[in-house]
Amino acid sequence: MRLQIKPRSNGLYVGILAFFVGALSVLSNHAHAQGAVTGNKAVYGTNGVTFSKVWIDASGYWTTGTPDLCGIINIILTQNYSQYPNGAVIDARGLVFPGQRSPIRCTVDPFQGVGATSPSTILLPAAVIPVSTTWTLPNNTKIIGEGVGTLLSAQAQFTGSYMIEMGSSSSCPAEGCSGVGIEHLKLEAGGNTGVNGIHNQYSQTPSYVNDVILSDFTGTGLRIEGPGGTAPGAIDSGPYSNMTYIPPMKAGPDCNSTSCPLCVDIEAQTRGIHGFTCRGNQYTANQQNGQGYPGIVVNASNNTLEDIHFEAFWDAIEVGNTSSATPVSNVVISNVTGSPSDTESTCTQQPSGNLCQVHNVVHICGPNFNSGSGHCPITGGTVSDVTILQADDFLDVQPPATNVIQDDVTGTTLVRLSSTSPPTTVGMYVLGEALGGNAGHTRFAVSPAPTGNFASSSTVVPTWGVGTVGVATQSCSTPGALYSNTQGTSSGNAVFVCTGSSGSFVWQPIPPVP
Amino acid sequence: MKSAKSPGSSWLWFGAALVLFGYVFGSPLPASAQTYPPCAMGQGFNAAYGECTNGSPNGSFALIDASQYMNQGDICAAIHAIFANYNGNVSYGIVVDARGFNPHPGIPQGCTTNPWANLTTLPYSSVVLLPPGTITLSTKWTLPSYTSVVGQGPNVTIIQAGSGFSFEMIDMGTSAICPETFADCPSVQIEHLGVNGNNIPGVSGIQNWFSQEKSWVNDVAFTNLAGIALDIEKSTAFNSGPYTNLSMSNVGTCLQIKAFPTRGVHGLTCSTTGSSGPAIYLDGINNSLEDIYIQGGSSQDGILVGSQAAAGNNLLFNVSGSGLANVIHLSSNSTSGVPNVSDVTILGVARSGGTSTIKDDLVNKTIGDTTVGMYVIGEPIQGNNANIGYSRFTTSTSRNAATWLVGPNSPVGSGSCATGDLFSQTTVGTPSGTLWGCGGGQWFLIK
Repeated sequence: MRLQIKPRSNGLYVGILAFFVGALSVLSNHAHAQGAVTGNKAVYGTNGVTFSKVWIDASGYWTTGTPDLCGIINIILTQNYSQYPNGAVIDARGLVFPGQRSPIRCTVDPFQGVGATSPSTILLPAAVIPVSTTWTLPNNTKIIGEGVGTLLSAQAQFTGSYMIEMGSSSSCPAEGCSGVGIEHLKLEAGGNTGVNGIHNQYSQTPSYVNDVILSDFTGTGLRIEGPGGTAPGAIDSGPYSNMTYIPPMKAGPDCNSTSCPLCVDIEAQTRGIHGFTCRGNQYTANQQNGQGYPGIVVNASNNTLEDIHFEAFWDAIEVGNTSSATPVSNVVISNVTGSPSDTESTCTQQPSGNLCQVHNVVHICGPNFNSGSGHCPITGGTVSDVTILQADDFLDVQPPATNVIQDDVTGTTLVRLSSTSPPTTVGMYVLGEALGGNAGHTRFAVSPAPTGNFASSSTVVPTWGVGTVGVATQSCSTPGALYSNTQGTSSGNAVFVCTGSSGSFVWQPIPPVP
Repeated sequence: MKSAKSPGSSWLWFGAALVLFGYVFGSPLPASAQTYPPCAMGQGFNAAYGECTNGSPNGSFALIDASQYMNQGDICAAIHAIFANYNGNVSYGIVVDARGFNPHPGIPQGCTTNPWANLTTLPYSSVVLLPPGTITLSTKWTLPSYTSVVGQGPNVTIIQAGSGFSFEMIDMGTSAICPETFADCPSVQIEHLGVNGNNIPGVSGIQNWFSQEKSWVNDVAFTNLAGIALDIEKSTAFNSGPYTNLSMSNVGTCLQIKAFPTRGVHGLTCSTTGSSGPAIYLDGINNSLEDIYIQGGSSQDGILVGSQAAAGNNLLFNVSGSGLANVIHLSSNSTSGVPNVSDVTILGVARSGGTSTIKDDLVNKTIGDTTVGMYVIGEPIQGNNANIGYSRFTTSTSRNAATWLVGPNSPVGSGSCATGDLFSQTTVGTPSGTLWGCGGGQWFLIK
């Protein structure tokens, strides 16, 4: 039986229809918000919904299928960006759907064809972004992720040496780019052995990297270049802060002559490295042909390295691994620790129980190397004025012996005492400059090697002790060391020197001139 | 003349009306109606003009606006509901924008539950943006891995302990929710926030016992906390930090570090209510404390190093104190016969009022100078295989400090000197000499 509905009148329907048509017309006028372009944010205005250019929502360009994040950003920057002469925030976080891990494509460098343009800040989504070619960030461009969930993953057949270039000759002014920033994301090499992380040879102040994880790289995580060719260098760039580098672990390839995991290579004066965890693997914990693999290389003057932890590199920090005629000086290193790897299980299989320890926490390169400690790959440069504060050979066990300081300028090795001793720490070790005739160097250290926490194989490091007792004729082990007795009541009982011969040393008062 | 009526045309009109009803009120607006990408819409989505809705705004998942979840109850219930809806185990992470969740501006809003509690799958990664105003907690927040909590400023977004609150207000991870082998919750970050303990006895601020890499506190003001404002303890807080741009006032203890190495504390202003205990306990190895200002009572220490555990290899850089007994106090306590303190570098310490800048129990030395440029205590020095003192450098000319002075002329005639000092004379004067020592309070010529 057919349902019988009897309309009261068609006039009523016409009225309803007219109402909705009218309502639609009003809403539509507001919705279309004359002048709105794709990506404008919708906001409520005085007459309903309208548009705002406070940022560009990249999801407005996503019409079908899997979104091409990089293509969309490139369209915005190359086709529509003239509408934002003062720059804009491009919000690409909406290119994924919540709770689905929906895929994203990235078919191009989002910045290809973008020259020195208006500033842009690009917010990236929490997603795996498959990167198939280098992203070259132009002048005044920042990319900001959502943290570790924003993963830029290098794809097979990746083209380029680095995943990200901070500026280029075509996208920077001649004097260099500024305001290039990278924050809150993770880069992953994805098994590509020839791919490196971030390269800066064009961006200077205030360009920086913050809160970035560099994962699975078999090469360099971050390289900061000095001037060279037409590139102005990354002078005064930074800071580079809160970063982590992790190479391939168990299945990672062995180091070879052209590529080995390296956390940071500093070739320019910067605003420093502040907060970094630098991890190696079973290969970088060893040496090859007498040369140790470094975690961070400092080959330029005027840099600070602060609050850094290392695992599984032969040399945690190498200073002056260069043959450049320009001296490397004024380098301040503070609060650095080296320890065995807590993630690399294959290290337990190494000969002699090598647990992927750090062999030299700080290695100052120079001609007077200790063959047992390895030498820097390049030793032709000159290093001076290096201040080391709070270096720690932390949790390493023996054998083999490990060193907290290896100074190849003065030929000094500070060797950890034993596996049962507390961490071998150095509160202050300052290498200054050479005396004329290369007779010695200015140097201050508070490490009384070869006593205390240092093995007897350590080099003698004279220091200055202070106490309240007279020590005349007492034995000592650090010839050249001074001792002040602040309770000395006479000139012959106040200042002492550790002196002697043939391995037999005693504290002798420094007498007044007769 | 009336037109002829037809049942078919009536149905047509009715159907058209339904279609229009659905178009106008159905697709863009309802919270529960959810289409799938692209052109996705869901409760709390932003709206942006796009190409797939014919010029009308469509949904954007740039963030989830918590203000559209007010029907859940309070702000914490709303955040919890958003996690449940959108950040399950198949999510890469979300941004929850609760900046608009402020139902009664100017009046504190309540938070009766922990937003991260009892989720069947913990959020993979989340950023939570909090609104201005005061949020009163009934229970502590326990932040899981990869969580960022971001306010709008330390004096703008304030979380406050409600009546009956106890223990700490925020845990950076817990042993129960941190999934790593060593109970590690990485990437827990707290920024631009005020933490107010409401002067309730026993309430502390932020506790990090379980968060390591990339876990930090930045731009946070701690106030009215009877307990410890910021407590960093255990080996499972290894490599956490940096802890930056902090201010603490009217708190029992500003900071306690009893951890393995951290990435340091950089920028801290501290004012305590205590009258005897130190403002800062430093009982861990390899930490850098930089740009610190402490105000406290005349019997208090500013930074007490090594009183509870090994505290070697710490760097204290630009520390100033006001009204304190000792701005920095190095303890002589030991653990298993080994002194807790060694290799401490102090660069730039100053006092205003109070008693001393540095009290060093290792060498039984107190320095009262108003400023000290450098004081480095190293390691034990031996004579006859026994400890006879410590390696030490200082620029203080305080009595019994033993320092090295440089001048163009002989120091003789400059008055009494501090026994143990050295003096390098850089020009030949009268009497002639190059190196002088001080013994018995008088300069004597060495060479």
